[in-house]
This record gives sequence, C-alpha cells and structure tokens, in this order.
Amino acid sequence: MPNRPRLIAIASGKGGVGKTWFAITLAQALAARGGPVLLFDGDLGLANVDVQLGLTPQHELGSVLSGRVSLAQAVLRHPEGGFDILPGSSGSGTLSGLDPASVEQILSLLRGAGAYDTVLLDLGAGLERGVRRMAAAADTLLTIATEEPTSLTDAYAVMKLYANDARQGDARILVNQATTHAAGLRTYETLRRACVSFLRLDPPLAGIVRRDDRVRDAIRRQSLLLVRHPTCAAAADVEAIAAGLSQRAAA
Amino acid sequence: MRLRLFRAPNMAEAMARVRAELGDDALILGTRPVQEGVEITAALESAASVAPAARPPVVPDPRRADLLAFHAVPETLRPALADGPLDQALRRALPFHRLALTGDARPLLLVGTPGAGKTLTVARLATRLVLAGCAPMVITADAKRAGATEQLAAFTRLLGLTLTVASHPVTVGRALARRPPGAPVLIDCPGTDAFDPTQMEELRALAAAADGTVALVLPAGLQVEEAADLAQAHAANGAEMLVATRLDLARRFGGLLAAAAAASLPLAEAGIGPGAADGLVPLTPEELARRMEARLAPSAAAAGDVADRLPRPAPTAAPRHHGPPPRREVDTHPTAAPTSHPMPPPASWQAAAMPDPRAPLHAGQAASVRPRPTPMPAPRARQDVRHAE
Repeated sequence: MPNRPRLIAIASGKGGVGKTWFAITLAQALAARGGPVLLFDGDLGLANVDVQLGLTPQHELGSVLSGRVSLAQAVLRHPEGGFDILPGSSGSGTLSGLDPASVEQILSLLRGAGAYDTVLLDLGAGLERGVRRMAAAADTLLTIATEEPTSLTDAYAVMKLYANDARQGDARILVNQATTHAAGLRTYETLRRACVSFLRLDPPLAGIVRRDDRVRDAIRRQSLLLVRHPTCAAAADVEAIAAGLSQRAAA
Repeated sequence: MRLRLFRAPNMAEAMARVRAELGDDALILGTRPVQEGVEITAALESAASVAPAARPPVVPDPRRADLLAFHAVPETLRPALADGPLDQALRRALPFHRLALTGDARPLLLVGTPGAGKTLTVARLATRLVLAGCAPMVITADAKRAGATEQLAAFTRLLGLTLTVASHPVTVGRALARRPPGAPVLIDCPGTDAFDPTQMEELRALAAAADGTVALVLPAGLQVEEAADLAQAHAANGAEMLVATRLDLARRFGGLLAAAAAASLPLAEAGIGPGAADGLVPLTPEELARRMEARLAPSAAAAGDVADRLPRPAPTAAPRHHGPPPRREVDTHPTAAPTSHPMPPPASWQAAAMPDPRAPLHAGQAASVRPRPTPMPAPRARQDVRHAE
C-alpha cells in the first residue's frame, strides 16, 4: 500500500503573525526528526517561501497541475534544511482565484506525494474559499494566533469555519510571538474559551513560540533559524512543537 | 466575534462596563490583574451563521437516536430532535426565554417543590445582579421551613443586601411599597405541593399581591411524566417560565424537556454548579445541547466543568428505565448521601452548597460578625434581616 503523507495545514486568518516563518522552521524541525517533509507554499497570491529562503524555482505550480512537469521535478531541495519545497509562485493567481476543481487537484497531488511522511501547507492569510477548503481537508490544522486582539478574532474566524466544515477534525492552536510562556498560555485560554462557548469546539494547544529577536535576524538574512541560531528560545519552542506533532501522529 | 478589553480599578466596575458596552450576552474570555486594577477580555458573537461549506455535509447522525433514548426524551419530541445540529433542533422544538431582571420589571417569584433549589437560585440571581452593579431587593416568603431565612440571609449578608421577611400577601404588598427605585425584586417562595389546592391558592395570592412573574424551579433528572405533571400544575397556577437546577448532577434531561414542552413553559436559566457567582447561567439551546451530548461523549468534552469531569459509564451499560437520580460520583458535597427517591434530595444537599452562616465572612465583612458563644445562642434580631410582619 502506498504511503500516504500526513497533511498539516497552517493558517492564521490574519497576516503578519509569523505563519510562513513558522512553517519553514517547523519543516526543518520535523525533517530533523527523521521523516521526509514537503512544504507547500499555499499562499499563492503572495508566495514567499522561496523569497524567505532565497531560492529560485524552476517550475510553476501550474505546470505540475497541467501534468507537464512531475512533482519530483518541481520541488526544490533546501540545501541546509533537509526538506523539500513546492513553490506556489505562479501565473496561476491566488488560491481564491483557483476554481474548486484546481483546489481539489492540488489536494490530491499532495495526498499522493508518497515520498513524504509529512506535507505542510502554508495557507495564505484571509478566509477565501480555497484556504477554507484546504484547512478543512488537512489531517491536522494548526491555527496561529498572537496576543493581539485582531489576531485573536481572525484566528477565531478560522476556527469557526473549521468547526462548520470539519467538526470532528484535529485542529490545534499555536501561539506565536508570545512575550512569555505564561502570556502565551493566557492567549491560548482566551481563544479556547471563545471556541468552547461559541463553537462547542475545544482545540488543544499545539505549543507556544516565544518572541525572539533572533527570528527577525534569521529572516533578514534569508537563513533558517535552526541553522543560524539553533539554541535560541524560539528554536527550542518549535522543536518541542515538532516533537509533540510527531508523538501524536504515532499514537 | 467582537472582542474588547476593559480595564477598571475593580472587578465590579469592569463588569459593569462590559455589560454597558457589550450587553448581557457578552462572554468573559479572561481576566488578569494589571497596574490599574483588573483587565477583562470579553467577546460577543454575532448570530450570523457561517456560510455553508464547499462540501455537502449533514448526514443524519445515527447516534442521535441513542442520545434521545438515553435522555428518555418523550416520543412526541423525538421527531423534532432527530436530525440537524441538536442546538438548532432544540431551539425549534422548545420555548426558550431570556430572563430580564431590570429595575422596572415585575418582581420575580421563585416557586417549586421543597428542595428544588429556589433559595439557591434567588441567591445566585442576587449575586449576578450585584456583580452587574444593580442591587436587588430580596424577599423571603418562606417562614415555614426551619432555617430558611438564615440560609438566604447568609448570602444577602455577603452581598451587602438587606433580606426582607414577608410571608403573607399583605406583608409582601407592604414590603414592596418600600421597593427602592430601580431595584429588581426577587422573592423566594415556600416549597409547595403543586397538587394541593390550598397551597397553590396561597401561592397565587402571594403572586397577585406582588404583581409578579412566577418562575418554576425544576430540578433536572426528574422522571418524565413527573416533571411534565409538575410543570403543567404550576403553569395552570400562573408560572410563566422554568428555571432548571442541578444540570451538573442529573444525567438525563428528558424530564426537563418534557416539562417545557408539556406546559409550554420557556426555559430561562440553568443551575450548573455549587458556586453563587457562576452556578447559574442562562439556559440557551446551545448550553442544553452541549450538556446533553456531553453525557454520551466518550471522553471529557468541551466545557471543563464538574459535570463533564464526572466519570460516566459506557453507554451500553446505562440503564434505560426512568430510575432514581444517579449516584454522584464526585465528592463535592460530602454531606449529600445518595438517595433512592426520585424526588429532590433533602435540604441537607442544598445546605452543603450554601455558606455556613456561622462561618467567618471575608475580611471586608468581618466587622459585622461577632464571635458567638458555644453552643448556639438563641436567635436574635439582626439588622441585615428586616421582618415586615
């Protein structure tokens, strides 16, 4: 029986909460734990995984979907990160502009990527149809929130759609840019309480990533946090989250 | 969801601002101490529903029939609750009512069988009003039961309220003539036998003298026909809504649903725990659905309250007959021996959840508490209890 990778979608509703950075760092942390990882840049409108990493894609996603290029030919190998990237940069427009059939086509392409144990979907900001569908179709959804009220309400909006589309699914909350671990827990509890009361959904905590200046430094240098500052607080937090995800995947 | 942060020197003021700006539906998501006092994060969810998902869903849930059977929901109600989200089905099938306790509202009389939770409900409503910055007038009309006045006085004293004792229609009328402007009125009525014409006549006279709204306090977990009869008898004597108690302890809610449906009494409030401040919540279709479903959930579900932490037997092992209330499986009320009668438990159960009137009050109140010699002294007149008769 062919291997079917685990699809982990990363969403936030609001932009600017560190979603793409987290997806890249998580991809490396998961790859370091052993299984092959593919990172899909699902923020098609503003595809920037390749920009953040200083990579130059050779093929467009559209070419893969039309069958002119195979998935293996289209992916980029990150030299230091040990994971593969499927760029979303393309002439094919944003996920919202994609017709539902193309969204399904992308999903089945990723589900069939049997060379990988894990496929991470870095979904764009906003709540467009394509984003919503991919969040609901993933095996696990990580919703990123920060302590800002706007981020909380946008993350809540993601959970609300998810509760409607995939009530029995596995959705977890991740707090990024937390000033302290305790403050991150409070952010989680606030969001959780809203989900329990308004949606009757009780999402577990995936983890808390503390605010760390070295994250900004790594992004500015187009390099990976776990390569540039492997022992900093944020790196330890992401590694702990990767461990938690692997553990529950095995269970 | 609208989300707002409120900062104020103290909790009562912050809560008042939350209510003023977001209304009574606001949900408190979190509180934390800050330099200026306290910060409350509150939210309000709009009723607007989510657009349908891209994928066609809503397959009738085969477990719904099991759920309705477990709760012994009357056959007449089952078709209406058979499919769709349970909260929406409940909203369609049963009346719900939002209790409005405003300063110009008619007095609210809490009636019901002895031990139903009337006194505790009055205490909780009074606590809610005080927290909202609106001190109510509290009257007890229960002069019969030993200790009834003292039980309620223990609460009103903590809240800084005067408890008025008035058990006769005439004295109730006289007491209400002194109602402070803008104060909601709560009246704790004596426990009654709904099938005794004399007792019900007295209750009607009381309600007429107060020109009040009558709410029936009904414990969840009663047998279906029993609850329906009780609600119908009270509806015939002027009850206009239901306050359900013991939702945390009862396991089967068929009796409650039957009572609301048979007597067309809207469900207003629900007792969900022993606390005075958080033990009573508005009973919404969502709240009821969540609690019904939690009873059959395989693991501790959403809410994290006492009810949901109760170990529960596997659904297959659950008895299907309408039996006595189940044994409580957590020892939150050590004095409450599980009983075998289907009617409300003895007064000791309530007393367990009540503050001991002899216990020291919190620091702010300490000045009014004098050490008492042992054994118990003879009762003496208190300033915080006013006898109107």
